Order: sequence, then structure tokens, then C-alpha cells
Amino acid sequence: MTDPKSIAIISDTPSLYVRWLVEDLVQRDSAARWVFIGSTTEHRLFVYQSFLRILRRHGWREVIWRAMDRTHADDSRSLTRPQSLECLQLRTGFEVVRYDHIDSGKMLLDLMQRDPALVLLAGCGIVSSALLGIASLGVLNGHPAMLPGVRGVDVIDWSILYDAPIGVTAHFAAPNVDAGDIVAQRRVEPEPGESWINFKDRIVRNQADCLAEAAVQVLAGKTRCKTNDVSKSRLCFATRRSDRRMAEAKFSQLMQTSSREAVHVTYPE
Amino acid sequence: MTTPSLNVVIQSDNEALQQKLLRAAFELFVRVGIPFSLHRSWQSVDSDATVIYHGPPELTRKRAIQNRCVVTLPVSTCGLEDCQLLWGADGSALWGGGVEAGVDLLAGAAALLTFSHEERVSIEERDQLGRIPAKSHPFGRLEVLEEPLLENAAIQMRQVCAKHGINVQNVLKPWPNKVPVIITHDVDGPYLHSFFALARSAWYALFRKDKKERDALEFGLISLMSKGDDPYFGFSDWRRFERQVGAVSTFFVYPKGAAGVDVSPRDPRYKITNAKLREEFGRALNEGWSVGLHSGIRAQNSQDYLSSAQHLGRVLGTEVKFVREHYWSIHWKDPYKTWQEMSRAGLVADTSLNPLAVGLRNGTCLPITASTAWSQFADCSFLAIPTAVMDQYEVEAEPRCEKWAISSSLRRLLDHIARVNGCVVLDWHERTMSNTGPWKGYFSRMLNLTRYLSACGQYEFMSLSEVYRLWTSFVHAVFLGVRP
Repeated sequence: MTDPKSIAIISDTPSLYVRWLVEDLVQRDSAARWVFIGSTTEHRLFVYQSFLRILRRHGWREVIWRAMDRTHADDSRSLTRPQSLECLQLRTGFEVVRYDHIDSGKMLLDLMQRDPALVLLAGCGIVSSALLGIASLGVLNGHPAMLPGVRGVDVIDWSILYDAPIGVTAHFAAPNVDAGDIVAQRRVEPEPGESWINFKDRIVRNQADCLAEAAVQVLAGKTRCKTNDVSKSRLCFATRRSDRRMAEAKFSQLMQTSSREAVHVTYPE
Repeated sequence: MTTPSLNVVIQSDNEALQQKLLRAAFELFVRVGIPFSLHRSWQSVDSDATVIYHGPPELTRKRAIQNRCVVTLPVSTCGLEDCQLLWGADGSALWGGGVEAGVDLLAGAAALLTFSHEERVSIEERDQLGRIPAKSHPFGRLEVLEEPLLENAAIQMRQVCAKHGINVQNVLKPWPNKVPVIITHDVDGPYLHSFFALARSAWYALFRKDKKERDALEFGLISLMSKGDDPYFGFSDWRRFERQVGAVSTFFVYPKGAAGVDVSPRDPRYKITNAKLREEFGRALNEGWSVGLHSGIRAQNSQDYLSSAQHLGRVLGTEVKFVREHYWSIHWKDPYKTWQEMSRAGLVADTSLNPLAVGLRNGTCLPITASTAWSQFADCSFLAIPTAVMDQYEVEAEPRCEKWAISSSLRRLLDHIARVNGCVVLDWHERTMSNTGPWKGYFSRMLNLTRYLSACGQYEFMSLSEVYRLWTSFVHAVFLGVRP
């Protein structure tokens, strides 16, 4: 029998995002019972596939730039870090389940056997429709942009580049990318003096909080979903380094003028 | 009103044809479920017996006066290979000879059981192994692969009996409650972490640009480098899954190294003497799962089967009773030849009857008591149990199904099988548990199928040996013998 309040979280790695999500759920008295974390195999596979996607789309140079950008991304962060997953596990008692491939039969079985009422996706790539149907209340995904608006990957950069409203969305996962009904969303505005990297972190922090809020709503049966009209969204792919630089520059300008409407950097369609 | 026993009299000038019709009558009346005996002539029939007669009409008139009830079946004059698809009054598909008085169901059943319907398929339309691709199969062309034609004929026969005042209310049933569903797994390649499997995937990925094989190669290499589990080794996960749905399956295992058996390049490569495999099968057998023989393509005579089954049994420490041919490579023109050889080797059931698609190769979903063909009805112990659904055919039938859906052909098949109280054998290869690479979507389709079955509420999982036991007991209860 499904416990109507049970939550499972799936994440490729024990990232900041998933740890924030675990904490936010605890604060809302809806602690996750299971956290599925990708094994070394899954993590390497995930990285390899992302690498291939960028290689095919933008070539070798971009692969190298991205790897270098990633190395420097951990510098100068100001937000309070959550505890490690092990500490959180000791504190809240959830079970950690490792998986080798998000779509594997073993993973589906592990989920089926635990029978969660709700599954939260916290950074695990595209999942199969079989996984989407496993939880009785559905599968929720956190998205670091406003929907409908910017779908896909690197959406924080794309939101800035396209002058789209910046924010986070929690939505039901659907067979198409970021196309399910919206459960909760909120705008995230830059704060005075905030650095680009800290702003991005804060978006992820809000993304976790918004997803936790949506999960509580769904568990309580108080969901008022908004249709996610994908025709009003752009599906975005991985950014080039120049895109990321331009987004950062645009963000700096935004901070200087403190009004997004005053920014006039246009980005080619 | 009690259900009488029927006396089925089959008369014909042609002895070979009479034998075929007797076999057809046997399978047909077993499916009717009223106890019956077979008679080669009127002489062995009591004067007050209830008679079902198939033969020259002039013989009926004389005996109809003496016997309380004689049901005369229509007799077509055409050959078995000329039987055709006909439609019953209730809209059900039938295979038989059309005559003025109705449909010669017995001729149709004989045609199905002797595979006469496949005789029209030319050599050019068959593949290298003599198999008939579904698109060239007569039932594939007529779009009746999912129709249980033999069971439909049994229902018609029951209606004919009822029309003549025979009580058909309390017919016997092989399984009293729900339709049995049997899960089986062919074990063709349980390792991706092997030189052969990775090289094979690399070949397809690099030279044939196969995306799914490329995924398998990447997953295989990365999991190998990360010292992770082998993605294809899913035995314990299958057992875990089956425990959850209340099933106990049979793993069909290839016995590489059996003495005196020729090896084909298409045969699987793994060795059952491998410690990890032996340990896994030992655990499965202890927990109640069973192991069957997945014989090599070139295993064709009783000696090969015996040697293979003994080798498998010796290594795994179990008795091997069930068999399925790799590539369904039974003698396609005359499967009885293969079945007789299997029976001689001490095997009791074969599950290699499939039309290379979701469906029924000879219009029956219930077991065929094949050993009656060579034993003159003295031996009812060897069964040919059709495998109606294999993973690949189901996924290929509709590669993109809606969430929790199954293909429309499988849905049709299951509905028909439930209607005629048949049984369903599923063949999901062991490595499909990985649900990735070339097997992407295979396990999730199994999940869809189990969901569908439990939602319908009229199916229950059973083991192959349980179905074998129930069916043979049922045949013994229904069939009262053959008289001269």
C-alpha cells in the first residue's frame, strides 16, 4: 500500500540542490523517505553524455571552455551550504538508494518496490515515461526558469539573454521536456551588489524551495495547476562560452542600472 | 441434467486422413471440455450412446435410428490445405472447409494441427532457417494472428452440441478461475561486460551506426571502468519483480559445451559452468524458479537434446523438463518431428511455437498434446505450449506506446485468450531487465503489460510446471480413450 505522504527524490549527484531540497522538505514536515542518487557509473555516464551533446552541437573548443568554467564555478559563493547528504541522512533517516542508470529496470523496480506517493526530480536528466507513471501522485520537477518561457538546459543564461522573466518553476514531469502542468513558481530578482555566481546559486536555492512547496501542495491535495503552454516557450540547448559571457555582462549591466527594462543588449534569435 | 460423455466417430476411406482427423477431434473435444472417447468406426459405439459423427453421410442414417443422439458434422470434400478463413454466426473467426451444411471444423482443426495452412508459403518467402516471417504467414496476411481459431472452433462445437440437446452447462475446465499467464526468459547473453558483447555492440555502433548499440557500448564501458554491476545481469531483479507480481518464471538456458552437439555461430556465447551464473541459478532454483533448456540451433535429434538437458541438469543440479529452441528453430515444416525427438530425450514440453510476431502460429493458445501424434493416443505426456508474446515483437508492434499502454495487437490477443479461457506464455529475454541500449523500453513494456493484466482482473500468473500439471490432468479427465 502506498503511503500517501511518502516522497522519493532522484538526483544524479548529491548536489547542493538536492541537499537544499531535503532540508526544505524537513522544514515543511514532509521529509523525503528515499533519496535515489546516481552511482559512479551513472554520474560518469551523465557527464559523458553531456560532453557528447556539447561536442556535437558546438565542437571541441566549447567542451574545453565548459570544463574550465565548471572548475572555477565553486569560487566566491556566499549562500549557507546545507550539510552533506550523509549528515542529512543521519538527521532525518531517509534511505539512500544508488542507481546505475535512470531508465534501467533495476531502478524502476527499486522505485516500484518502495511505492512512493510522489517522486521529485532534482537533476537527473530526461526520464522515461515508465518512470513518470510509477508514483500515484505523479512526478514533480524543479526548473530554474519561468514556464512557459524558457525550457531545456542552461535556462538561467538563456532567460537573461532573451530578456525573459527570471524565476523558478515546479511542474509535473511530462513525456516532453519541461512541458508538464505548473504547480508553483516564483520570480527571483537580483539583489543589489549580488555577483552573477551568487545570483545563480540563489536561483537554485529558490528552485529547491519552490519544488518543496509544490510537493507539500500535491501531498495535501491542494494543487491548483496552471497549464504549461509549450507553444509559448523556447526550447533551449547548451550555451556557448560567448553566450555565457554575454549573459554575465548583461547581468552586470542590469545590476548597474538596477532595472531590467533599461537594459538594451539585444540577442540574435 | 448430467453431462454425458461423447462418442466421437471419425470415419474416412483414407487412413492417413482419418488419423489426422482423429488428432484434430482429440484437440478440439479436449477444448470443448465434455468427456469423450474417439472411435474409428461405429462398431465400438454403444447403441444408446451420444454420438458426434464425422464421415460419409450414408453411414449415419442407419445408426441414427438406433442411437439416442447423433450429431452429424459437416464434411468438406476439399483437402486440408484448402481450408480457409470463415466467419461463424457469432462473428468469430474460424478455420475450416466451407460446405452447404456449415463449416467443417474438424478439417480446419486438422489443417491447423498439421500446419497445412503454411504449406502454401514458398521457400522464397521463408528465411534461412525455414521460418515464415509474420508478413508472409497466411494468418499474418489475413490479419488473424491473434485469433485462437482452434478454441473458437471448440466454442462452435459446444454450440452444435447444445443445439442437439447435449448439456454443455457443466463442461470441465483446465483452470477453474482465471487465465494463466506464464513468464519465461530466454537467457541469450547475460553479460555486457564481456569481450564478445562489447565488441558486438561496437561493431553495430561504428559500422551500422546503430544508436541503441552505441548506448549499450557506452554504458557497458563506463560501468566496467567504474567497477559497477553488469547491466545485462538481471536474474535477481527478475525474481524480485516476479515476487512482487506473484509470478514464478522459467529461465531457458543455453547449455554450451554439451557433448556431441554442433555449435552454430548464432548460438549464445556464455558458459553455464561460470561460477557467477551457477550461483545465480542455484539461488533461483532454491527459491522455486525453474530452469529449462534453450537448445542450440543445431541440436536436432533426441541425442542432442538428451546430451544438452543432461549437461544443463548436471551443472545446475536440477531436472530439466522444459525446452525452447533458440531462434524458434524447430523443424518448421513438421514441428512434430522435433517434438518427438524432444520427447525421446525425456523432455515434457516445448514452448517454441510462435509466428515471429505477437500471435498464434497455428491458431491455438492452449497446449497441444503433441505426443498423441506418434503414440496413437497412448501417450499424452508431451505438450507443445505456444508462446504468443515475445518482448521484441511486442515492442516492434508499437514502438511508442502511450503511458502504461500495450500494443493493440497484444490487447486483441489477450482479449481473445481471456474469452476462450486459454493461456498466455510471455517470453522476456533476461537481459531486457537492463531496459537500456537495444533493450530500451523492453522492461517498461513488461511493466505496462503486468499493469494491464492486473487491471483486467481475469488473469493470474502461473509457473510453466503448474500449467503443465493442470493441462495434463485435465486431458486425462476429459479424454476417455480411443476405440477401434
